[in-house]
Amino acid sequence: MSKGKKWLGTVTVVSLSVGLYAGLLTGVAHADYQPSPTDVVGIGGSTPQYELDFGANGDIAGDLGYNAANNVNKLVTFDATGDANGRDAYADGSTLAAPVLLDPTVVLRAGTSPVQRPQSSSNAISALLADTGAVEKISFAASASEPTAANQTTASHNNWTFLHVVEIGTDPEEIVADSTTNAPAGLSIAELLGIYKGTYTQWNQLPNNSSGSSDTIIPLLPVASSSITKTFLADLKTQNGGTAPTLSAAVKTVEQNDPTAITSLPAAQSVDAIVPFSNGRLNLYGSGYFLNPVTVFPGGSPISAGVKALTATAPDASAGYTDVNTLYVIFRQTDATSTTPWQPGSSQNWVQALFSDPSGPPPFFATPAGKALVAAAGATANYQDLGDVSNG
Amino acid sequence: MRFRLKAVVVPLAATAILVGTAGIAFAAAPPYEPAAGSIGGLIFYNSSGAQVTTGNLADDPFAAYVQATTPGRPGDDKATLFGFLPKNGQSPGQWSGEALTASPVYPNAGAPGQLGTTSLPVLTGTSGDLTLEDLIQSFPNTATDSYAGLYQLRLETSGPGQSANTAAYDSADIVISGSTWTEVYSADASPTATTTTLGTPSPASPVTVGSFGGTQSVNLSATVTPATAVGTVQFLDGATPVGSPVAVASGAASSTATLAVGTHSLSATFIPENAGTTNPVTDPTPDFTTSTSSATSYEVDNPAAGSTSTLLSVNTGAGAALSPVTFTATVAPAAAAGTISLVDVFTPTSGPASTTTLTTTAAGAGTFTYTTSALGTGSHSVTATFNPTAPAQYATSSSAAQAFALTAPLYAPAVGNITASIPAGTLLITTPYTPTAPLNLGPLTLNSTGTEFTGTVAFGVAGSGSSTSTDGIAVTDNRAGDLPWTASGLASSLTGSPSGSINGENVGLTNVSPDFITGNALDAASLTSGNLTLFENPAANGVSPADTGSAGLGGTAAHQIAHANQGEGTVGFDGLITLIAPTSTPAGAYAGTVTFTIIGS
Repeated sequence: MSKGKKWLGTVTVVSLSVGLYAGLLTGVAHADYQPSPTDVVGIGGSTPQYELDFGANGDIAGDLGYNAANNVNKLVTFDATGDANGRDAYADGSTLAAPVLLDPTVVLRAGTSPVQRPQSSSNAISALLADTGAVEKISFAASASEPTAANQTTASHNNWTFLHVVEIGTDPEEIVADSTTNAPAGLSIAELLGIYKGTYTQWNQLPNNSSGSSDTIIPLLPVASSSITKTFLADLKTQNGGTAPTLSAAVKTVEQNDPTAITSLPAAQSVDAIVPFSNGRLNLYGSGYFLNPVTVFPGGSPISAGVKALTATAPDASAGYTDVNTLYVIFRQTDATSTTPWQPGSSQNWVQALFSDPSGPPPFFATPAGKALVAAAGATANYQDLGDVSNG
Repeated sequence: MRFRLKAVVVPLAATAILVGTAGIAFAAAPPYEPAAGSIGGLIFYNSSGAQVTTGNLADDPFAAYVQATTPGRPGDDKATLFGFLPKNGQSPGQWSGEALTASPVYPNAGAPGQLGTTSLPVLTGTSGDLTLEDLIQSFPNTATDSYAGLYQLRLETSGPGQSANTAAYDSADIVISGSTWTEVYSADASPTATTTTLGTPSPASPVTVGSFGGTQSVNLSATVTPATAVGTVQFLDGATPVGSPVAVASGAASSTATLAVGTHSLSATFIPENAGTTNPVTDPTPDFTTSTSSATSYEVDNPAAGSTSTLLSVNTGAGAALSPVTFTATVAPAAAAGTISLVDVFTPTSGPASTTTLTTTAAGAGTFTYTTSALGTGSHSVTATFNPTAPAQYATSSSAAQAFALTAPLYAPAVGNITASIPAGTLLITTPYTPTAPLNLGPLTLNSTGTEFTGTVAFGVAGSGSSTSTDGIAVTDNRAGDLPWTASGLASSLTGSPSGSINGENVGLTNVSPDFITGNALDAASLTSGNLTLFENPAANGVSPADTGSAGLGGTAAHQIAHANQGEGTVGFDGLITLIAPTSTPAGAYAGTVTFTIIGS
């Protein structure tokens, strides 16, 4: 893969992916596009990664992304996952019982060493806040959660004024299970609280579900820094009367929004596994975007997620669990007010061109083109320039 | 939400340089055109499907539809419109720009007219697209050179599994003036080759017209491929257009020709719309090449020559020789043109029989009458024969022989004799200039360059009307026989007193004009008809006395002045006599002669 500047700027791929718990490992290459100093570099969580990818480089239906203008400076977005199919990568010796994450790396700018790839929204915000060198390596963070008040304070201390937040869309969060599952068609937040606390360990222990399977429920949960997990735990906490619940030891940590966390389990286990999941990711699977990674180039047939959302009415007669994650782009306010034009000949800085220009033309992600690409990635496009906001 | 707080900055230089008082003032393409990367042009349409070449910067969408002039790649079904800021000194691939639209699918069956059916990429604009005002705000054109005010719009296509080819696209250029954009250039697609085939004319060749010299209505058809070709077909008979050009519809065109009798070479030529233009601003459709079918020979024949009949009647009057006998011939049909010949087989009372053609005369309106008083005594057998002027149209016919006998005249005729003669006539040429009344050129004048002495005087008095007494020369021809004549002149050297001489070559006669006498055979029409020819003999440029050339009127042979092919009558000639003497000529008085001769044959 070329290291040349003219490669079209997508950076969604690293060369290695390893099946969950497969225990295979080789060294990681990093021959992806390495951004120039004038490119705009984004990192972020898994949930918004495809929205930004598509916005930069288009989708597989022929909708063109920002970089299709072929300007000299590119919008470069690094995925949270080390795999373009959104799967996590695990190190040698990783097992189901004891997964060992690979800690994949990424080269954020040409001429710099690989650094750990930010793999969640909060990690991305933290990385952005830590990027205080004279030359920015990280331009923005894509996140499924707003920055915290502490993040804003740090930004202020960094002399950035604040972290400017722009909403580009929303993405419902749901509980998914294998397409063939012992789970009921819907699980309420009350039932989920019982499951993740360990109160309910078998399906037939759920209220009004005595006829259900006696199999042991396998509750899965993405890493704590993921927005999916944060939203889910916040909902459990609310359901728990405002007290964060103590999770059962049966709860296993998996990559967020990766259906193989369930589908790669042995069949006897996959039918009993559940995990909170991005509806947008399910939509993206449904669009045929992902090809069977087992097949060599030019790739196999599109694959389905192999999981389904449990949003029907739960056995306890409550609504099936669902919440909404908002997809944000977060950047330095000083970049938003910069007087340095981004593209040659332009009057706009990169923030104005891409994300926020209250007094000028619509930035790319506010245009029909940008919104169409956010939708193509599975989310519901909704552009709002929020400015200085925080949560938590 | 969209904000419009920033002013749109348009360089004033753009207005001054690029746009006149009204309309498009762009006389030439933008300096970077034809630009690398552009493989075709763009045509802009409003929501009704009418082409637009100008509009408001705030229009949203900028154009309801934008059609490319070249097909998208196989598999492409989406189109995206980009706006780029041309930069002097940079290749188009280095220019900055942005997408103005999303990537809607084409074809859009909801688009009006051909936009909804064409296989060419058509971008459907959407409210909310970036406007040109947005583009200008993002990429202000600050150029003050020939790039001022210009933007290039590109339409790129893409499809499932394939992104746009940013190195090959269709494009057009616009110029911004105030709050208005105007399209100023759009690359044309390479013309699509066409093939034209002439269908078999109907009815099939050969055909026979119903009447002699009639015409035949022939149905012509032509097929043009590809069927999308836009233009007309001109049917041809040889190089002559047959009717007006016919619009091609779905690759077909037909017409009806009215062909005269003869052999025709029929063909069809496809003429693409706006052939030869290269700018879809004024050429809204893709060009196609001209093509001509092979020629098909088509024969239109006259019917066989029509039969005629000739009837002859004779009125012998007194029935005597040398008395009037009247013949009346009637040819049917009356429209048949031709001549009637009356042939008489005469058997005199004594002596051998003889055959004589009494007359051959044009027949008029089918009836012919001839009276003669020259028939002799004896038996006559006269036959009238009709010979048609157009034998292909009418056949020859002869009447039955009309036999009659003429008796000897009752009283013998007396014959008187008459005589006459035509005189041979003479040919006379005269001039009024004599030793006692010479043509005096007066003192010659040294010219402004000091290289020669010159003098010019009128030779005769032009327009003397009925008299030739004041003409330079006069010719009178009263000879019989319409004979020609030639008038000539030969100048001697002029001898000086007390010394010196001037070469006769230095004497010239120019501006010769005839002076006709009213009512004479030689008149103004003689010049235009070529009967009378005039000759110019300009003087030599002051050659020395020793020169032996033949310039001017000098030398040893006479110089033609006028010639008449048929010269009866009298005519005078006037002109200008010029004498040019070299500066070496001694001062003094000089005298010489010009001898005018007339030669007839």
